[in-house]
Amino acid sequence: MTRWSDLKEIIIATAAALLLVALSALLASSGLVAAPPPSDNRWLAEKFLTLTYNAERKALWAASPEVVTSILWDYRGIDTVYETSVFFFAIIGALMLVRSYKPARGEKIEGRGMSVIARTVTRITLVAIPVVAASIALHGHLTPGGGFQGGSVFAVATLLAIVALGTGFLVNRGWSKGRLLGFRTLGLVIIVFVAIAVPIIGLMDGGRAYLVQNQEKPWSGYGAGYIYSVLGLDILYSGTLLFLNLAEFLAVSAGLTLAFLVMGLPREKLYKGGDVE
Amino acid sequence: MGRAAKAAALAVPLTILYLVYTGSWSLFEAVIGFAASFIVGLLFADAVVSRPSKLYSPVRWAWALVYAVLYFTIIELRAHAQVVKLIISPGGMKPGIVRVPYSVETDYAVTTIANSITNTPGTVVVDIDEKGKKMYVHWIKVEDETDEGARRHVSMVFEKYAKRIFD
Repeated sequence: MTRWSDLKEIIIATAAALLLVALSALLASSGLVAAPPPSDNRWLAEKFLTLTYNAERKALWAASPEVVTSILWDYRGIDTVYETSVFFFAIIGALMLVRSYKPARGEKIEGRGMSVIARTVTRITLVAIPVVAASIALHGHLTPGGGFQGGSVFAVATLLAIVALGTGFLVNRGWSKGRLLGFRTLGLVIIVFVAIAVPIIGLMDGGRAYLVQNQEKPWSGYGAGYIYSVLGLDILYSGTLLFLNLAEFLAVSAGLTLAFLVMGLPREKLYKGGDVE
Repeated sequence: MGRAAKAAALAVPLTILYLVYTGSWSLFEAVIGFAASFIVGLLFADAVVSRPSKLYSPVRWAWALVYAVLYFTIIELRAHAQVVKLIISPGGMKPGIVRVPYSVETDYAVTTIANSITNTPGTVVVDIDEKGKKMYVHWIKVEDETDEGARRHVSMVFEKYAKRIFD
């Protein structure tokens, strides 16, 4: 049972946490740590554009007409060096994940997979990452992201599962080569269908529309609409964009997962040939 | 427990994750998020949840909250103070690997203990013996070489809460 010393610790910790929150709120509201973004920061872009390759003001130039590279490796070079070291550690993480293991003499290698810690954390990410991927794909027409980006994120989850839990984890739950190829093809079929949908509607109406046409043009009055009103809500779906993003999400998720799965197969399986199962 | 029931149980916390990530709290987003989370649940829920009722136990959640508050304040502060002391006092370090037994049952509890130990810089679980229920911990300053002594120093607090939250 909880003893008095436990309770005391809990009370002190709660007070400390509340103090931290209050302090953060104070700092944020006073504008000390998080000043509201200026409504117009074009002057900064203006500076970079006029200074990077300005031979008349060599005190501030980077001697390169390529502005982005100038910013990355010159004006904020130290940030980039830091990022590179972060990437270095990411690679170390990847090498740790797929490291080889040399069994001691007489030790059985079977069943000696990742530790329970790695497997448990991978299981959690296995459901968390696809949810984030779905959000990226579903909001592709509203915010940065889209079907390809969402599908790539989804494949990170399955790649981790393959590395930490083994190819058998996915294969045993029915993720066969045939099925994954099927979902990838379904995604492509939906994309083709959406691409020709508006022109076909145009042809049936006796008019003309472009392949992959999304919205109406002054000279081609066929479009996929953009607002769907339901239950008093006006939902912006941006015509064909939402459907193309979802189909792309499906195709990329299944396609990349299949590629990783095939790459992760044991060598004997590849020698024997045949399907993933 | 059926597959759909497990998926639905897991979909609620996943929907919250979806909304936090999306940065929108409208009912419409919640409905879409729940649908997406339910599909993810259908794909993978059985690998994550064994007994959905545990996911909705208010007692477990209360202990998780208590632990989170403790962990990120007092425990964190103590761990870092200890390391600061080690850094400014030369020769204070006495690194070594100790065997730490544990008595929790679920994978989540074991993972919680292992990941909690890591909050002291330089102290980290390097291997785990699942059958013998023992962790091998690299300890930055070995104060007790016996199994139970190391357990008392390194993982006792974490184990207590991990058991209440997950077991």
